[in-house]
Amino acid sequence: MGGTGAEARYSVIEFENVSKHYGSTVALDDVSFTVPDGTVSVLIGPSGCGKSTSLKLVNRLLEPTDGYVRVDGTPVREFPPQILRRGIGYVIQSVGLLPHMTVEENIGLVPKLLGRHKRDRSRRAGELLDLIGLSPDEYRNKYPIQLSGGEAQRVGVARALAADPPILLMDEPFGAVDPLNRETLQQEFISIQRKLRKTVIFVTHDLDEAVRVADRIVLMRDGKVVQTGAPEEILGAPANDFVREFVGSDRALKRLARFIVGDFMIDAPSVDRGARLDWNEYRDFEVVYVTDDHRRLLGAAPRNGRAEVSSAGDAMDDALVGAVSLGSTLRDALAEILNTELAETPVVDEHGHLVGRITMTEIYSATPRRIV
Amino acid sequence: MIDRDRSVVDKVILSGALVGGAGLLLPVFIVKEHRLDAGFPVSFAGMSLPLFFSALALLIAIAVVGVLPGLRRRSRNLPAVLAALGLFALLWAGTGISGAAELAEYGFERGRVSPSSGFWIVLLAILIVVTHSVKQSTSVWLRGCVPLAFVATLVVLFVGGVIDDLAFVREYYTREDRFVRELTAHIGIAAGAVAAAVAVGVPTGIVAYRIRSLERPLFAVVNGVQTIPSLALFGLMIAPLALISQRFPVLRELGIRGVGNTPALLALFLYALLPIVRNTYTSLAVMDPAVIHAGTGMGMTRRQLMWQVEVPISLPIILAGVRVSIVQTIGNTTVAALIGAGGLGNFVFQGLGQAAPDLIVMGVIPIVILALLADRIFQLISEWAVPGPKRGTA
Ligand SMILES: Nc1ncnc2c1ncn2[C@@H]1O[C@H](COP(=O)(O)OP(=O)(O)OP(=O)(O)O)[C@@H](O)[C@H]1O
Ligand SMILES: [Mg+2]
Repeated sequence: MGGTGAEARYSVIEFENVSKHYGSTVALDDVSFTVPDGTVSVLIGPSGCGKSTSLKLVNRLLEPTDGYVRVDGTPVREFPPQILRRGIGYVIQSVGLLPHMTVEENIGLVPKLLGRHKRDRSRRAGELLDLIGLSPDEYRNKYPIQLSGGEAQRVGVARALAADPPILLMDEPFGAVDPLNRETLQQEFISIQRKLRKTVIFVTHDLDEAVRVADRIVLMRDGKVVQTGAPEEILGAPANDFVREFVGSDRALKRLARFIVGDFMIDAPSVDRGARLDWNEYRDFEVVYVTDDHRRLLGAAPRNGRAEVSSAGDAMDDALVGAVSLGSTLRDALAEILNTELAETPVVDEHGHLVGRITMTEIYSATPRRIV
Repeated sequence: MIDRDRSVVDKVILSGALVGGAGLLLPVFIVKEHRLDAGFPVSFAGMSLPLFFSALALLIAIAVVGVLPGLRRRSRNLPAVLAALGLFALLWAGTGISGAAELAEYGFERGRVSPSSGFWIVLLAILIVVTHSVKQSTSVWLRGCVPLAFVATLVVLFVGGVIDDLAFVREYYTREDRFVRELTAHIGIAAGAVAAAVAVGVPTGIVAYRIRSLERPLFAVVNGVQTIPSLALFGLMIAPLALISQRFPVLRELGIRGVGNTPALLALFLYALLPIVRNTYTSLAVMDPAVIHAGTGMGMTRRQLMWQVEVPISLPIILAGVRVSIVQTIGNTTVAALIGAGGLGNFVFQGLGQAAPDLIVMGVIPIVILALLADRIFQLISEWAVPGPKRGTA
């Protein structure tokens, strides 16, 4: 605990037979799961199943009725609550920015409680604003009422990260954002997490979000854990009818979102724009990609039953320019394939260079099937 | 809403100008040979034609601002306010100077000049134009400084001796020492009552919020007090306090009696409570629970939560309640003079008793100025004390 960069960042969170009763309401019933060091576990389940309650048990906003919550093997009840909380980043469900403080002061809240100097807090706020994609110059001195819902949620995340805690508890951190911005925020979260390697419990009731950000999913219902596992496991092998129904009939599709194009793509045939395209050389291909001098993708030349030789530039159909990037998911690739008239999609890197292609065969290879 | 108001004729400013125009036709002041003389009236035109036309020009300027939205948008009605300020200075200085001239002309050495219907109606017109313009304005500067500019103008004219021959100024000079005493007493009583109300009202508001079962009874009491007419409340204080002070001579020696400061302070204190209790309660009731949740979750101690979250968020609302309390108490203190508490109310009731309106006015003007100053100063304090995007953008 504590969390300055020099310390060992080993931080496992364990729930061991945890129950929580509110009077006669049983919010959690014998819950056990482990969040390994540096990974993201997503708590997901219908409203009221006990997700927020679980988070609050970790930072002692609530005490369990029964069982243990441990951090690095030590029961949290052995830490003084204030000390514990300052070492755990907490993004609350309703954002909760303090209205009388600027964005910078809000972000600097925990560092201030930890006695950090004002200059350091200010620099840190700048770094974090950059990290969450808000310009520090523009946003530093704004007040929460001057922010949009999505901006406020980003600041909420920045505030949780400010003291660089090894553990993050995020309660529907992107709940108030429209689907489009939500996806952007998820992407940002994934890339931030790749850099920072926090131990994260992330609460959501959006399965797509869970599949995107989770290393492990803890699926809950009525205060009980129904199934835990990697997203592809839960989507690929639902433990019971509830899970099957919860993940939906499009679970195979959702599962595709777990796989990265770069891991599945195959070589793509290509010719330079100025070169001759001799279809005899590409007997096994329905499509040949046309690139410029730097191997940047310009378009696709479909065979369309042709066999003659022509200039690559002339054979190219300008309309067929769609592509997916290396970091996209197979789900994006499938969507792209369905979008074009071709039965495949090219893959490009961040500079637009052609690096491969994905066909339906690769899509199928990622899908568990009894008869192939 | 504001945009629509600006796009069309501003009816309030226009009617203010019309009211002022009507006032110009009425007698401005009455020249009296002595205090009880019926005297003879003097109109604006009779005072001096240049004065009359200057006043008319200023009123027309105000009317033009009222009709032309373009003038209002950019400067937030500043032209109308400035014209009104000019008219205000003209009214007082003109009355003072030409009143003195009339007295000299007739050789009324003990004579005096009593402002009459025209004077008061033009003053009313100025009030209409200025309060309306200031209320519409989003500029802190304008809202804070305009009332002060009017008070300052009056003070300058008074100190400069320009309005010495006005009847109520005369009344002032004949009892200067007493005036200072009563003014001090007035401020002391009002400040004491409000200070006590803050000391009791804020905790009461917190208790009303925290302990659900006490909310209704507490508000029943403080609301109930407000519905008692002030005169009756002062009366009600007398009997029990007189009784207590008879029973316990110790208290009597401390100055606790049925009449005087004690019942007045008690009654004023009770009146001052409601705005403070209500606003304290409201400030807590409207506080977003997420803010407390966040503060606690970040690792704030109970005390940090109170001083860094709860107090700063509720302070502006509580301060607004205190401001209402102060203004209201300054007014109510006037009535306290009836039970022998002292204060500027003494002049008002003495004037009522002697059928001497000039004496009443002499008491009322400083009360109005006090209330105005307290209100503005407090408003400025709260605007500076409250963090957040400065108004004018909202
Ligand atoms: N303070 C409380 N007092 C009594 N019952 C509570 C309290 N807080 C939560 N509960 C109950 O405990 C259960 C779990 O609540 P919790 O807030 O953990 O749900 P959740 O999974 O976070 O739901 P949501 O997705 O709607 O946020 C619910 O049935 C809720 O009504
Ligand atoms: Mg919840």
